[in-house]
Amino acid sequence: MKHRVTSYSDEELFAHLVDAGLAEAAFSELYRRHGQRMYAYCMRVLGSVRQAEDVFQEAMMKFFQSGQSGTEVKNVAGYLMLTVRNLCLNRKRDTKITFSLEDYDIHVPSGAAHYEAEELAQLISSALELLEDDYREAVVLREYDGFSYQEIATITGSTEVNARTRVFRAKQQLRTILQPYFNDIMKHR
Amino acid sequence: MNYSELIHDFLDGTMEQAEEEELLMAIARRADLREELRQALALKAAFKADFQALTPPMHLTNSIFAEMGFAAPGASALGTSALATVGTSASAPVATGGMFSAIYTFLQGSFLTALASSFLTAALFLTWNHFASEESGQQERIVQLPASLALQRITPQASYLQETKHLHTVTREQWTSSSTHNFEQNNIRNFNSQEQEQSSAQQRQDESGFGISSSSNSIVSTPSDATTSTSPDNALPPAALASTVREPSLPTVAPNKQYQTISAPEPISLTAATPDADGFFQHLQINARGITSVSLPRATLPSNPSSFLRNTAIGALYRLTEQHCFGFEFGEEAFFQRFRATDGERQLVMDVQQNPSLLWAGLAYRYVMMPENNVSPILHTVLGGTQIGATGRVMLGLNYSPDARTQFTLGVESSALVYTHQGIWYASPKIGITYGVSLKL
Repeated sequence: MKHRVTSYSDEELFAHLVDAGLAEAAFSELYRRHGQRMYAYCMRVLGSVRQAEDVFQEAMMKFFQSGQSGTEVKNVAGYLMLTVRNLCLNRKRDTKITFSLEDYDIHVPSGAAHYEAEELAQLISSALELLEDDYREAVVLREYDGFSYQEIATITGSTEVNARTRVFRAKQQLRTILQPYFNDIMKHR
Repeated sequence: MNYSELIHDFLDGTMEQAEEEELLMAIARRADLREELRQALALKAAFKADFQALTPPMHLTNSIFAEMGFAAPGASALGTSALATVGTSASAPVATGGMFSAIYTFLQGSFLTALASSFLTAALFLTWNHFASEESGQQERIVQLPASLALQRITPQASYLQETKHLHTVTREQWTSSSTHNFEQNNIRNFNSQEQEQSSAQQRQDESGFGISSSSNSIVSTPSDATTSTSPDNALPPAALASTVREPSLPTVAPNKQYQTISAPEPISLTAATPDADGFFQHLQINARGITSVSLPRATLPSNPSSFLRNTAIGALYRLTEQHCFGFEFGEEAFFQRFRATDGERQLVMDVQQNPSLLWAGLAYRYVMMPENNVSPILHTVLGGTQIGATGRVMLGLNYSPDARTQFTLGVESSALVYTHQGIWYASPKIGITYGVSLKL
């Protein structure tokens, strides 16, 4: 089956998880398609490598067990995202940590003369943790996981307009947080 | 108008045409909007770069798959964008050859085929046992018969050969009911294996006027008779012929001084590789064996549960000669892997351990040292591959052949999986015992 799974839809692959002979190939393909996005979500929403890995592994196990139990799912990506999100919310609820801007000293690379995405990416993770949970989640779902606003609204239980607003405001706040970096870039231009 | 929102929509791809034109005109006029657009673009690029760096680490992926009872996935289980970031050298252990990979894919994709092969092997085994038991029953009759054997053997005497031209035949029943000699089993086998030769000898005897006419009957083949009937000395003068036959320990002349032959309409072949066995399938044999082995060093992790092929090897060999066999073999075995993985993004060096159960397949060669003996040392080698690397195995053992078609094997086997990860080669050796059965078709 391995040479054919790439042509299967998510839903077909999920349905094959009940088949012991095909489950491994089906899960491997689903993991290949969605694993990184889910892991990125865990990392950026939880902000802790250890917690992200724990939640990611737990989510994958739950997802697999759901498939093996014959659960019918029409939108596998959304279902997996909800699984990951619920576990992330549980984890955050259990380990509530508040952040303030003063907790972070955004390090601006010295001598940066250009917009370097790599450098900025290193700052993004810290900056994301300063956002409110709803904003951070919305921008991660949009920019990391590639969900549409409609899908984000479904996942987060809000409206499409609300989802779009959250993403926009999250980006605005990130720009504000990263303004020292942008200013430094301007000075060296 | 909020141009910041328009810039957001513009980069989001959700802007309408009219708004886009207005925004572009505004950007052309205002430097602050150009800077805002530049920052928004930088932010978007940063999101993308950050995402690409967020690949599930290998130890996490392996842990997830191991918990589910699956083999650790290869590099393909990671997103392609992740591969672009990490680099191809940072991929998981990869298959070494397209052929092995194709074989593996075939095996994995044809699980039912493998299952069917197993059942076929079992069916052949049972079928053979059925016929073998019947045949061995025949053998037993033959072997046991000599206890009451009263076969009247005739030492060819010159005078008799000269005087008697008429011979008559006796059936097997006649032979068995009147036999008294206690032949050894090997002699009985000689009887069966030499019937062909005797037929031709009969022909020669016919031509020389000895009067043995029935092609379906053969002369009773005792050691001395075989000598007599097959020897070209039959063509010698009687005096010379008599002098060539010396069997003092065996009874000699029959009361009626007649040759007695038995009816053997269907030769019983007790050796698979008879000279006329020139068909392809007559040179094939199917092997099934179990493998009990341990990893070196000992595995610290349990392997994932797997198919029925676990610790089993099934193969088919073609006997070029009685000593040399070539063929293929496939099976499944757990190989304990321990290798070092470097995560360049996080500057981490990880000691990765896993114990996946892998399907393997390869070309097999078997050398039988003494094929003529019931017990013979053998050397069995397989060179093949798994989905993550090449594998080889060498077995030294003993073959026991209770009959011409069945062989039981017991031996010591050493195997190894050789694979590469991030440009470094590793090997997972194993040693153990193997036991199995081979059936010649």
